[in-house]
Amino acid sequence: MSFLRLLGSELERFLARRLARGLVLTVLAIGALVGVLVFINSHPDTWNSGFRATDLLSDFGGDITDWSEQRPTRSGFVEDGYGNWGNYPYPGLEGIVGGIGMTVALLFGGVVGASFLGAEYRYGTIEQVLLWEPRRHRLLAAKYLVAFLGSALITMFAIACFSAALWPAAVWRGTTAGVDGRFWLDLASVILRTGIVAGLFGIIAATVALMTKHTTAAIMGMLGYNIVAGIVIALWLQRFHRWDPLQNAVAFITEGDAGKMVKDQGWEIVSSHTYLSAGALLAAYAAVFAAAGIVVFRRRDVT
Amino acid sequence: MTVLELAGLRKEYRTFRAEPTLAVDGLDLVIEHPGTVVGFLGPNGSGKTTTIRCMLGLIRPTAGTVRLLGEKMPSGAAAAIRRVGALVEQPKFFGDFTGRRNLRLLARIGGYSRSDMDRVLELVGLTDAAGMKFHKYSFGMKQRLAVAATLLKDPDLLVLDEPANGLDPAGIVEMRRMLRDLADSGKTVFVSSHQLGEIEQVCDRIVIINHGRVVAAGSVDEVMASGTQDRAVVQVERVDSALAVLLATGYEAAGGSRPGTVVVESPPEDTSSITRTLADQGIYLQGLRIEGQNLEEVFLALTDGESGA
Repeated sequence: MSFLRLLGSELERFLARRLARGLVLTVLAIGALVGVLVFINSHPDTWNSGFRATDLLSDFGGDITDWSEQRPTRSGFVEDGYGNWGNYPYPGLEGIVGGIGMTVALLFGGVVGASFLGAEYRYGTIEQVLLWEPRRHRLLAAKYLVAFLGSALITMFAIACFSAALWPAAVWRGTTAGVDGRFWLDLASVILRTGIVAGLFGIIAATVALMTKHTTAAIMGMLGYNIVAGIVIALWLQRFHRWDPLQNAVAFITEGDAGKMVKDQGWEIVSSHTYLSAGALLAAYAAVFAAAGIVVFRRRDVT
Repeated sequence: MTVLELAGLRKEYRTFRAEPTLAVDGLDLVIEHPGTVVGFLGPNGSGKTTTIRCMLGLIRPTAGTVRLLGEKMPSGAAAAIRRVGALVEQPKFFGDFTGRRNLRLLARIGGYSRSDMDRVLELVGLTDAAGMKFHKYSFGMKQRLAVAATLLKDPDLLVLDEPANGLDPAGIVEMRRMLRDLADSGKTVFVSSHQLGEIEQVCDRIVIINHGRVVAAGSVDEVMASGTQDRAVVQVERVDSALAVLLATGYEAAGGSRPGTVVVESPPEDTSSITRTLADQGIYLQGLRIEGQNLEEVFLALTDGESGA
């Protein structure tokens, strides 16, 4: 059996699933909602309070602090020095779209990866496929590849949709000043890196679902780690901070350095390694999970 | 070439808390006749499905060896499985996908065309329902789709676990005919079923297992011969007198389930002796027939009356 045919079958299996279609529709709906809310809450009458197109990069995780100030802007997105925000572009919406790259990647990667493998156990179809392709490492490799691609593509689609949804607010109620070739390149690279992170999370989630034979357990595990890890690391496992997959995901998406916690007077975060190293570390984690999944799957009785 | 060879097959299921469960206990089995239908019978929990899963490489035996179409399993699974169509326990497909899409996902792996799919869908009578979602299928339709999937590969060996489950009488007859046709075309059909009558009608050979071991194997006639005796059902006017005469002569006899009948446990060659014995006492037969044992009785005798097949 050709690996490409196997891959084609897995891809069709993925694309035909209700979850994939549901996520696309959900993304479109959320994108539209966020777009409308931002549009309504931006202030067309105030010259310098509309949504700044270049904010898209910071919203989705891009590291633009080193160059955005050099760009022409008419946004009044400033702090008065006393902690009060003046002329905030969309009052009441703080945090809705800011820095969501990693969260979207974790959520979509977790859901897509976990459900893709979990559904095979839920429906028992893993057995059916093994009666057509008994080489388990090949079958799982194809599934991992599809989980990676599926998670990445849906996440990239989501970020692109959210960007597009905010665009009208910038055009009609804010400014597109500073939007040039570099902006589009940076935005595309943020979307691509977020997609890669989602794909890697998808592989990890798929492995957890494979091992537990349970979609929900895998998703809850991923999201639970997101909630608990930050607290545990800050309180008890400070030295693990630089190895934390989530921290490295953020560093990779934002093109920023990954930090490590060092103890001086108290714990403080200093630069540890570059975003490329962070991406490589994340890929290594996914590879370890995938290898463990293949070892378990090859030895497991399918009943 | 030997179609299937199981030698000393043993499978223990281990769990953390409970004692290991022995599902298959040193099972030996050889099927070396291509073009036959082999019935695989055993009570519930006798190890049938575990044996089938071991055969197909879905589970690893604790001990023993499996050779499927000449290939050692599970290492040779890639070569063997492409020549095997298998349905284990119940049909397993995605409920939200149509029958055709479920089939296409498998066809795609094997590189089979749309016309191949159409052929097997027609063979199992699902052409018109191929566009329906799987979860809307009746159980019989699900079963038909699973059989269609096994036929897609045009396999040399078909392994079917309860293929007649959920089928209506017409469907069962159709299934029986299909299995026979497949065997006649040179394929080996290995079929496990609860419907002993069906097995008896369609199978050339039978394997009966109990407690993970083979208790009988051979042609249908051979296995039947290993079970209970034939018996003569005598129809007379005076049942009590006939019964008294036969018992006094040393026959093992009892009143039949129908009025006016006496059942005598005896081989067919004893019928003339029974007739003469009764006639000598002035009891004349109104009818006599030999009631052959059926597979159900043989099965129950060999498996200590445990239920399920």
